[in-house]
Amino acid sequence: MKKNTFYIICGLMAVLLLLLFWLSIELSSPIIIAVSVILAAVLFLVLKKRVTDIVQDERSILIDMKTAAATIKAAVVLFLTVNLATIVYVFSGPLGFQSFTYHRPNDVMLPAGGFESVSYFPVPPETIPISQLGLFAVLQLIMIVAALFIYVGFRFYYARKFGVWGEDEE
Amino acid sequence: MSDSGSITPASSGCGAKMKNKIKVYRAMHDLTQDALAKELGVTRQTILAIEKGKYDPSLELAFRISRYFQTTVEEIFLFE
Repeated sequence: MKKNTFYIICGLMAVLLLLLFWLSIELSSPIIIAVSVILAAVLFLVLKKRVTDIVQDERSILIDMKTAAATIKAAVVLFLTVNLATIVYVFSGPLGFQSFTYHRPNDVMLPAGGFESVSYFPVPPETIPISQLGLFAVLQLIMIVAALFIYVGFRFYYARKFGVWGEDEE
Repeated sequence: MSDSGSITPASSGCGAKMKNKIKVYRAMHDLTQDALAKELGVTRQTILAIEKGKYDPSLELAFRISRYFQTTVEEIFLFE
Protein backbone atom coordinates (compact mmCIF):
# COMPACT_ATOMS: atom_id res chain seq x y z
CA MET A 1 0.00 0.00 0.00
CA LYS A 2 1.23 3.48 -0.85
CA LYS A 3 1.62 5.98 1.95
CA ASN A 4 -0.77 8.45 0.32
CA THR A 5 -3.49 5.78 0.30
CA PHE A 6 -2.72 5.15 3.96
CA TYR A 7 -3.04 8.85 4.82
CA ILE A 8 -6.37 9.09 2.93
CA ILE A 9 -7.72 6.07 4.82
CA CYS A 10 -6.57 7.62 8.12
CA GLY A 11 -8.39 10.84 7.26
CA LEU A 12 -11.57 8.93 6.41
CA MET A 13 -11.27 6.99 9.66
CA ALA A 14 -10.96 10.24 11.62
CA VAL A 15 -14.09 11.64 9.96
CA LEU A 16 -15.94 8.36 10.58
CA LEU A 17 -14.89 8.43 14.24
CA LEU A 18 -16.26 11.95 14.59
CA LEU A 19 -19.57 10.84 13.07
CA LEU A 20 -19.70 7.83 15.40
CA PHE A 21 -18.92 10.12 18.33
CA TRP A 22 -21.85 12.29 17.35
CA LEU A 23 -24.05 9.21 16.88
CA SER A 24 -22.96 7.91 20.25
CA ILE A 25 -24.07 11.13 21.90
CA GLU A 26 -27.36 11.21 19.98
CA LEU A 27 -28.20 7.63 20.95
CA SER A 28 -26.78 8.04 24.48
CA SER A 29 -24.72 4.92 23.88
CA PRO A 30 -21.07 5.16 25.01
CA ILE A 31 -20.34 1.64 23.76
CA ILE A 32 -20.48 2.83 20.13
CA ILE A 33 -17.57 5.27 20.41
CA ALA A 34 -15.64 3.03 22.83
CA VAL A 35 -15.68 0.03 20.47
CA SER A 36 -15.07 2.26 17.45
CA VAL A 37 -11.92 3.80 18.92
CA ILE A 38 -10.47 0.38 19.73
CA LEU A 39 -11.29 -0.95 16.26
CA ALA A 40 -9.83 2.17 14.64
CA ALA A 41 -6.60 1.79 16.62
CA VAL A 42 -6.26 -1.86 15.59
CA LEU A 43 -7.05 -1.03 11.95
CA PHE A 44 -4.51 1.81 12.03
CA LEU A 45 -1.74 -0.50 13.25
CA VAL A 46 -2.62 -3.21 10.69
CA LEU A 47 -2.69 -0.72 7.82
CA LYS A 48 0.54 0.95 8.94
CA LYS A 49 2.37 -2.36 8.68
CA ARG A 50 1.17 -2.76 5.09
CA VAL A 51 2.58 0.57 3.91
CA THR A 52 5.59 -0.12 1.73
CA ASP A 53 7.01 3.27 0.80
CA ILE A 54 7.50 4.92 4.19
CA VAL A 55 11.17 4.95 5.19
CA GLN A 56 11.37 5.03 8.97
CA ASP A 57 14.97 5.48 10.03
CA GLU A 58 16.63 6.09 13.38
CA ARG A 59 16.06 9.86 13.30
CA SER A 60 12.32 9.58 12.68
CA ILE A 61 12.10 6.93 15.42
CA LEU A 62 13.98 9.28 17.76
CA ILE A 63 11.54 12.10 16.94
CA ASP A 64 8.60 9.74 17.61
CA MET A 65 10.05 8.64 20.94
CA LYS A 66 10.94 12.14 22.13
CA THR A 67 7.51 13.45 21.13
CA ALA A 68 5.69 10.60 22.88
CA ALA A 69 7.73 10.98 26.09
CA ALA A 70 7.28 14.76 26.22
CA THR A 71 3.54 14.47 25.49
CA ILE A 72 3.07 11.91 28.26
CA LYS A 73 4.94 14.14 30.74
CA ALA A 74 2.89 17.20 29.83
CA ALA A 75 -0.37 15.20 29.78
CA VAL A 76 0.32 13.81 33.26
CA VAL A 77 0.74 17.36 34.60
CA LEU A 78 -2.42 18.45 32.77
CA PHE A 79 -4.48 15.52 33.99
CA LEU A 80 -3.17 15.91 37.55
CA THR A 81 -4.10 19.59 37.53
CA VAL A 82 -7.60 18.93 36.22
CA ASN A 83 -8.08 15.98 38.58
CA LEU A 84 -7.11 18.03 41.63
CA ALA A 85 -9.31 20.93 40.53
CA THR A 86 -12.19 18.51 40.00
CA ILE A 87 -11.68 16.98 43.45
CA VAL A 88 -11.74 20.43 45.04
CA TYR A 89 -14.87 21.29 43.05
CA VAL A 90 -16.69 18.15 44.17
CA PHE A 91 -15.52 18.44 47.77
CA SER A 92 -16.69 22.04 47.98
CA GLY A 93 -20.32 20.90 47.64
CA PRO A 94 -22.40 18.27 49.38
CA LEU A 95 -20.90 14.86 48.67
CA GLY A 96 -24.19 13.03 48.57
CA PHE A 97 -23.47 10.84 51.55
CA GLN A 98 -26.61 10.59 53.63
CA SER A 99 -26.05 11.80 57.14
CA PHE A 100 -26.48 9.13 59.67
CA THR A 101 -26.25 8.85 63.41
CA TYR A 102 -25.37 5.73 65.19
CA HIS A 103 -26.98 4.91 68.50
CA ARG A 104 -25.44 2.36 70.74
CA PRO A 105 -27.96 -0.23 71.96
CA ASN A 106 -27.44 0.84 75.56
CA ASP A 107 -27.87 4.50 74.76
CA VAL A 108 -30.51 5.95 77.03
CA MET A 109 -31.17 8.96 74.82
CA LEU A 110 -33.48 7.22 72.43
CA PRO A 111 -35.44 9.42 70.06
CA ALA A 112 -39.18 9.34 70.28
CA GLY A 113 -39.55 7.77 66.83
CA GLY A 114 -36.95 5.07 67.42
CA PHE A 115 -33.59 4.71 65.62
CA GLU A 116 -32.88 6.66 62.49
CA SER A 117 -32.35 4.68 59.34
CA VAL A 118 -28.69 4.22 58.63
CA SER A 119 -27.28 4.27 55.12
CA TYR A 120 -23.59 3.74 54.75
CA PHE A 121 -23.43 4.17 50.98
CA PRO A 122 -24.65 7.03 48.86
CA VAL A 123 -27.50 6.38 46.49
CA PRO A 124 -26.02 7.05 43.02
CA PRO A 125 -28.63 9.44 41.58
CA GLU A 126 -28.40 11.65 44.62
CA THR A 127 -24.62 11.87 44.80
CA ILE A 128 -24.03 14.31 41.95
CA PRO A 129 -26.77 16.32 40.31
CA ILE A 130 -27.09 15.37 36.65
CA SER A 131 -26.86 19.04 35.59
CA GLN A 132 -23.25 19.18 36.84
CA LEU A 133 -22.07 16.20 34.80
CA GLY A 134 -21.96 18.31 31.63
CA LEU A 135 -19.06 20.26 33.12
CA PHE A 136 -17.00 17.10 33.42
CA ALA A 137 -17.77 16.12 29.82
CA VAL A 138 -16.58 19.52 28.66
CA LEU A 139 -13.44 19.16 30.78
CA GLN A 140 -12.74 15.75 29.22
CA LEU A 141 -13.15 17.24 25.75
CA ILE A 142 -10.79 20.09 26.60
CA MET A 143 -8.20 17.61 27.89
CA ILE A 144 -8.39 15.49 24.72
CA VAL A 145 -7.99 18.53 22.50
CA ALA A 146 -5.20 19.89 24.71
CA ALA A 147 -3.36 16.55 24.54
CA LEU A 148 -3.63 16.61 20.74
CA PHE A 149 -2.26 20.16 20.59
CA ILE A 150 0.56 19.25 22.98
CA TYR A 151 1.48 16.26 20.78
CA VAL A 152 1.49 18.34 17.60
CA GLY A 153 3.48 21.08 19.32
CA PHE A 154 6.18 18.71 20.54
CA ARG A 155 6.21 16.98 17.15
CA PHE A 156 7.00 20.29 15.44
CA TYR A 157 9.57 21.15 18.10
CA TYR A 158 11.54 17.91 17.85
CA ALA A 159 11.20 17.68 14.08
CA ARG A 160 12.67 21.16 13.86
CA LYS A 161 15.34 20.39 16.46
CA PHE A 162 16.55 17.37 14.52
CA GLY A 163 16.51 19.18 11.24
CA VAL A 164 13.47 18.17 9.22
CA TRP A 165 12.95 21.66 7.90
CA GLY A 166 16.59 22.37 7.19
CA GLU A 167 17.26 23.76 3.76
CA ASP A 168 18.64 21.45 1.17
CA GLU A 169 22.08 22.64 0.17
CA GLU A 170 22.66 20.28 -2.72
CA MET B 1 39.95 16.66 3.02
CA SER B 2 40.89 18.43 6.20
CA ASP B 3 39.07 21.61 5.26
CA SER B 4 37.70 22.79 8.59
CA GLY B 5 35.30 25.17 6.86
CA SER B 6 33.23 22.28 5.55
CA ILE B 7 33.12 20.43 8.84
CA THR B 8 29.77 20.79 10.48
CA PRO B 9 29.32 20.66 14.25
CA ALA B 10 26.53 19.01 16.19
CA SER B 11 25.95 19.70 19.83
CA SER B 12 26.04 16.84 22.28
CA GLY B 13 24.90 16.65 25.86
CA CYS B 14 28.31 17.14 27.50
CA GLY B 15 29.26 20.37 25.76
CA ALA B 16 31.56 18.70 23.24
CA LYS B 17 30.74 18.84 19.58
CA MET B 18 30.56 16.23 16.89
CA LYS B 19 31.76 17.31 13.50
CA ASN B 20 31.58 15.44 10.25
CA LYS B 21 32.83 15.55 6.70
CA ILE B 22 29.98 13.75 4.98
CA LYS B 23 29.35 16.63 2.62
CA VAL B 24 32.98 16.56 1.50
CA TYR B 25 32.93 12.82 0.92
CA ARG B 26 29.60 13.07 -0.85
CA ALA B 27 31.04 15.68 -3.20
CA MET B 28 34.12 13.52 -3.79
CA HIS B 29 31.90 10.61 -4.78
CA ASP B 30 29.56 12.88 -6.75
CA LEU B 31 26.55 11.75 -4.74
CA THR B 32 23.34 13.58 -3.98
CA GLN B 33 21.85 13.46 -0.50
CA ASP B 34 18.99 11.40 -1.87
CA ALA B 35 21.31 8.86 -3.49
CA LEU B 36 23.40 8.49 -0.35
CA ALA B 37 20.24 8.15 1.76
CA LYS B 38 18.98 5.34 -0.48
CA GLU B 39 22.33 3.57 -0.31
CA LEU B 40 22.27 3.73 3.50
CA GLY B 41 18.55 2.97 3.91
CA VAL B 42 17.68 6.25 5.59
CA THR B 43 15.73 9.33 4.56
CA ARG B 44 17.27 12.27 2.75
CA GLN B 45 16.29 14.47 5.69
CA THR B 46 18.49 12.35 7.95
CA ILE B 47 21.53 12.90 5.73
CA LEU B 48 20.70 16.60 5.61
CA ALA B 49 20.33 16.76 9.40
CA ILE B 50 23.65 14.98 9.94
CA GLU B 51 25.44 17.23 7.47
CA LYS B 52 24.04 20.35 9.10
CA GLY B 53 25.03 19.07 12.53
CA LYS B 54 21.50 18.89 13.84
CA TYR B 55 21.54 15.17 14.41
CA ASP B 56 24.27 12.83 15.62
CA PRO B 57 23.90 9.44 13.94
CA SER B 58 23.96 6.20 15.87
CA LEU B 59 27.19 4.24 16.01
CA GLU B 60 25.75 1.74 13.54
CA LEU B 61 24.86 4.41 10.99
CA ALA B 62 28.22 6.11 11.48
CA PHE B 63 29.98 2.83 10.66
CA ARG B 64 27.70 2.26 7.66
CA ILE B 65 28.55 5.72 6.35
CA SER B 66 32.28 5.25 6.80
CA ARG B 67 32.15 1.77 5.29
CA TYR B 68 30.25 3.11 2.29
CA PHE B 69 32.96 5.71 1.69
CA GLN B 70 35.61 3.05 2.37
CA THR B 71 37.25 4.96 5.16
CA THR B 72 37.31 4.98 8.94
CA VAL B 73 34.74 6.47 11.29
CA GLU B 74 37.39 8.79 12.75
CA GLU B 75 38.11 10.19 9.31
CA ILE B 76 34.50 11.26 8.78
CA PHE B 77 33.40 12.01 12.33
CA LEU B 78 35.40 14.09 14.76
CA PHE B 79 34.55 14.50 18.41
CA GLU B 80 35.89 17.77 19.78
